[in-house]
Amino acid sequence: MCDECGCGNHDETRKKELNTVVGRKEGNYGGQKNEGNIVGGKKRLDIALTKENDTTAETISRTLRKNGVLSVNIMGAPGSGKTTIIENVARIIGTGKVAVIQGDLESDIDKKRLEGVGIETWQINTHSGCHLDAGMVMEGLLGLHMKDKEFLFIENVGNLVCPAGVRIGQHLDLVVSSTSEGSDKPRKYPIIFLDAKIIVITKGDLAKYTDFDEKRYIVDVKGISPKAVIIQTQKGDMNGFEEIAHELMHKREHLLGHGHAHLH
Amino acid sequence: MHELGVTKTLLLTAEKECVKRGLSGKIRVKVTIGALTTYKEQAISSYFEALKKGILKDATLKVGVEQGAIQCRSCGMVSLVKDPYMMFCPSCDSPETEIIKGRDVVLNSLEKS
Repeated sequence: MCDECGCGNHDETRKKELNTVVGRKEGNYGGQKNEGNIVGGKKRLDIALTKENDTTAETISRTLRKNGVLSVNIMGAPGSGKTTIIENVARIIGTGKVAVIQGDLESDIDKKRLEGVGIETWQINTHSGCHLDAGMVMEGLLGLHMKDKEFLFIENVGNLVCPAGVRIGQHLDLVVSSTSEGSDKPRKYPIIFLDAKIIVITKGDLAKYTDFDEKRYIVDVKGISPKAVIIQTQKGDMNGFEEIAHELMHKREHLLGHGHAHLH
Repeated sequence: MHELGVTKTLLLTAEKECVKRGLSGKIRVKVTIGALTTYKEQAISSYFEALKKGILKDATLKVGVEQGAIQCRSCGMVSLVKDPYMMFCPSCDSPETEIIKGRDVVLNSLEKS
């Protein structure tokens, strides 16, 4: 008997409803972009409007993978601590193994900051643009020296909406939330967490001054991204950053099949 | 804001396809937006109306929304994604699910109306 309404055949009804919604016959989970299909006597085009971006993203992802570089799309609100994570994690991994593409509306403040500690950085200014796209990342890659690099950190424009779901050649998403933003962000901005493989809660040292409800945050964010690893950081304590570095090295090994020698 | 870029792509693609198919005049352009994208129907429609020209100047846009769906890798169950998002499998509670619908923005068809 079905749990939802107690009927005997809800499962079948639900299956039919889902198959109508998802537009496929049961057991057929193939792609949807079959250009030129004849459906109901009308010629369907089904052209993905993000195709150009996605093709460039795929090229970036494939090229980096081939060269043993793990690319990480770092997303979060402005001021959440994205650049601090890059700076500290790069120090742990070894600054020479890391390249950064830095996205901001204006200025080269973060480029100067990262270059100041020896991290090769390409700055992209989007001006009014609310997120990076694959073309921008490609431009950055062409300007960076990727020989001997093992990680590409792409710091997206500070924003919890627009960068979500835009393919930029990343192998994984890392999403940053600070305690001072409040614990309701997964409920308010769920879309940014959808693909997150690593979620970092920053500014743990400020939690006592806020009403950040850590348990609630973790329950909510796990609902959206059940398999994400959640790591916490705080000022003056490198443990969280060490954890992020280890996790990224593990992901590199797992996703690209490249091992790592040792921590810097 | 980012709907501007995707609407420009839509207009360029639709124009190219109209020329290829010899379509002109009152054309109905059908587009589907995935509910798990950040694109909004109203913004795309507004940009479309403001930017349409040439072969598409009399075109009308119909935008549909495709609901998000996940499939469980453990039990195969396909389920819809509703608010608030819950990506565990509703059938077996597995976290091994993948999004199979609702992440694309697609030009479905061009029809003479």
